[in-house]
Amino acid sequence: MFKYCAHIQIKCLTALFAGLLLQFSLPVQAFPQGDAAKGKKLYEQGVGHNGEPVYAVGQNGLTFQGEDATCLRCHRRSGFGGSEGGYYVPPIAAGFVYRPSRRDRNDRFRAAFLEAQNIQHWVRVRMPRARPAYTTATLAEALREGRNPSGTEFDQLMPRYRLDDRDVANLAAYLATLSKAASPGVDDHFLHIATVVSHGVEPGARDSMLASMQAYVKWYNERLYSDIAHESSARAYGMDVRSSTRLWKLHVWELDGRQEKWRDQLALYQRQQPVFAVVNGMVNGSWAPVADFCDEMELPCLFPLTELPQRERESGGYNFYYTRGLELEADILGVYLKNMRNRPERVIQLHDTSRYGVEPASRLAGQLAARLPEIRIRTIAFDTPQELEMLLRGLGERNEPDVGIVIWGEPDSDSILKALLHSGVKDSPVFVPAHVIRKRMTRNNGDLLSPLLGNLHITWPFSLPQAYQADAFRVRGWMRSRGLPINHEQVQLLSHYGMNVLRDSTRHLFEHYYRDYLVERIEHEVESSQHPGIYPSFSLGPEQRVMSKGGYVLTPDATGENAFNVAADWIVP
Amino acid sequence: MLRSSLISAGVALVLFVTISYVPAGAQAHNQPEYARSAHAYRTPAVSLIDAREHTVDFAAAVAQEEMVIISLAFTSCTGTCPVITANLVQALPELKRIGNRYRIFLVSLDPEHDTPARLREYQARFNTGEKITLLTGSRTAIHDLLRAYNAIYPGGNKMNHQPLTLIRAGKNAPWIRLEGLVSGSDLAREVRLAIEQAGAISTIY
Repeated sequence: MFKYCAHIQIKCLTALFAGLLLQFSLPVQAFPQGDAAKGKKLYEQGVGHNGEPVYAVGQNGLTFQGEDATCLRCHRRSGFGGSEGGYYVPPIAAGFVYRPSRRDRNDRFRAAFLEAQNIQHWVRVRMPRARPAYTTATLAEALREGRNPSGTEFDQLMPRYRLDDRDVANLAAYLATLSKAASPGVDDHFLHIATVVSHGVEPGARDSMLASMQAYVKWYNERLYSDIAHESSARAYGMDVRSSTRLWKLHVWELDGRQEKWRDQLALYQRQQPVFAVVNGMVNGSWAPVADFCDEMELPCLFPLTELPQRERESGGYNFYYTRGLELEADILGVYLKNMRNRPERVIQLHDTSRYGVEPASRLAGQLAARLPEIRIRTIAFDTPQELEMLLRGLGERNEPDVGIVIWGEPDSDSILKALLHSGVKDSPVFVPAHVIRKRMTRNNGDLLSPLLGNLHITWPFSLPQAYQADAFRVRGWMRSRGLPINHEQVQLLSHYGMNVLRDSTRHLFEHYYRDYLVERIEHEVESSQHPGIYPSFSLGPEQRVMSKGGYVLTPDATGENAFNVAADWIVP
Repeated sequence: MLRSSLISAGVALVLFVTISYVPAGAQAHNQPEYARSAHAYRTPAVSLIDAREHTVDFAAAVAQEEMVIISLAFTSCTGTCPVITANLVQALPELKRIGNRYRIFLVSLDPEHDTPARLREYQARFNTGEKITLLTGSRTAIHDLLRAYNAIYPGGNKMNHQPLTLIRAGKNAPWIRLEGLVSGSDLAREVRLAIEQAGAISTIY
């Protein structure tokens, strides 16, 4: 073992010495003054100073250009690199490129110990990488020839770039700024996080979410205090990570008034005390104003409890969601109708005038027009529950089996279910989103739903009601031991999960508290995270922002054995 | 009984040749770029979906081809997958010279994100052509496929996958497993070698 370590050290010293020699022996080359803004364009978009796509040659003559040749693809927006496919991509942010590489365990601790990687990755992370600080000249050589200032050849995954001196200078200028200043919301002692609640949300659910989050922060800080008080015996690696740990402070950002006013309120909160990330949260109506603010401020907003997420972006940005909400349910229904054996010839959509009604109705109409042009669809808006009852009663009187009835409306209201139960609709298939029935989820709902047995269909973007949720058992225990009554289980389990993801992701950051880096760690780690099973599984990837991507269609169970039967297995539209 | 013994002997011979084989690229750079081994995998009977939204019976699709190459990637992957895909495309002209009775299956590791529409975009981006079939499917089907080829990624996280190429050079040939990035020319050379070895086995029994 000693012999091996000595060998590695000799290799490091030799490489360092060779690097120093190389540096002094390089002809002095004058590079033009770099433009960091143009360097950023090259880094992120693969566009050179002349507006042309950059060009690079990879393994065995493979060529890449423009978007396929950006630095961002592997080294990521933060410049902290990462790991993927068993390859270790080293950091190239300002704090790394322009200083000699040092043997700092923390810098490689994440890649070496916190990820379940294969043996090739394990070896790559531990390879000696001693080198002096880069200069523009050695950076040019690294980019063009694939050699670091010590003369070590880069891995085959790093292409060799055809860049002129101006592009190299621009990139060098940008790298000197990349992730240089720590993101707002972190100081030497505290990591500030916020959650967002608005007026008009169900008070019980809001209080349960806040209580769960406050209990989590208290628990987290107590553990940290304990580590600080017992440095030598602190959990894992205690002493070395102390400098990178922060106590958490939770801020509750309460919004009121019309949604148009929310941006100013959020900006005021952020000015008073900047936060590093927003976690969980619930608002009345669309999450879009909060999501826009988070994108504008480049502030990670993690897992709001919403059915109306901001979906203007196909990918990227700073907002992570559990699902696409009601848009997903409309898409699931579109696929289900397409595959349905006794498909209705006509569909009548009834929706209220809130965004919970209008948005999914418009989405489904678009889906059916594109996928099933043979189905005639009619969409009717209603203003009040009485109006809905009247419309449904009319449809109940006609009771046509070839007419499908779809109803969209505000959540947390029994009005849709009540109107349906009294409508007399027996033969027409009826389709509703999960929130219409979710609160009535009991094993023996056969009696309640008996008037609708055989024709009610529910889109269900969650785990099956009868699924066993192992981690939920553990989290419920955690909550009970802290005296938290479990009265809004889904909200509480998901709130706890959001905090867990933040904890695990920030653990990967060590002292590098950069918001872009946090986003990248979440993208990377969510698939490995323990979750309470509200959704069957989570996965993300680079620039992906929605963790659960499908859903079931359920029908009430006539036997009372289960709450519901599965009419369609997991659909990913 | 005799037949199965002969097949086992054939596989053992291939394994022996494999173990003693060092890829040419490895010699040139004095470090192995990928690891090679031979295996007897059972192709899983899973139902997948191609980029045209057609259902593909994977076992039947593999069985009907004389030679099959399987690789794994996902469309949002930014590091190795573009290289894996570009390498496959780079190998196509050389593979055409070797013979045209083959198919490459590029299977998604991120099936719920990689819808057929995304596969079509990916096809267009890399100009994968007719010989490379991109496949996605249900989470369970992809998991079954990965398990059958001993390709489950560490930690249940696709971000920890590693580049993998499988070659089956003849209907009764063993699977040649290449772990690591395999360039287009290395892939063509491996295919030639796999065909030679498959020929050696078929002459035994």
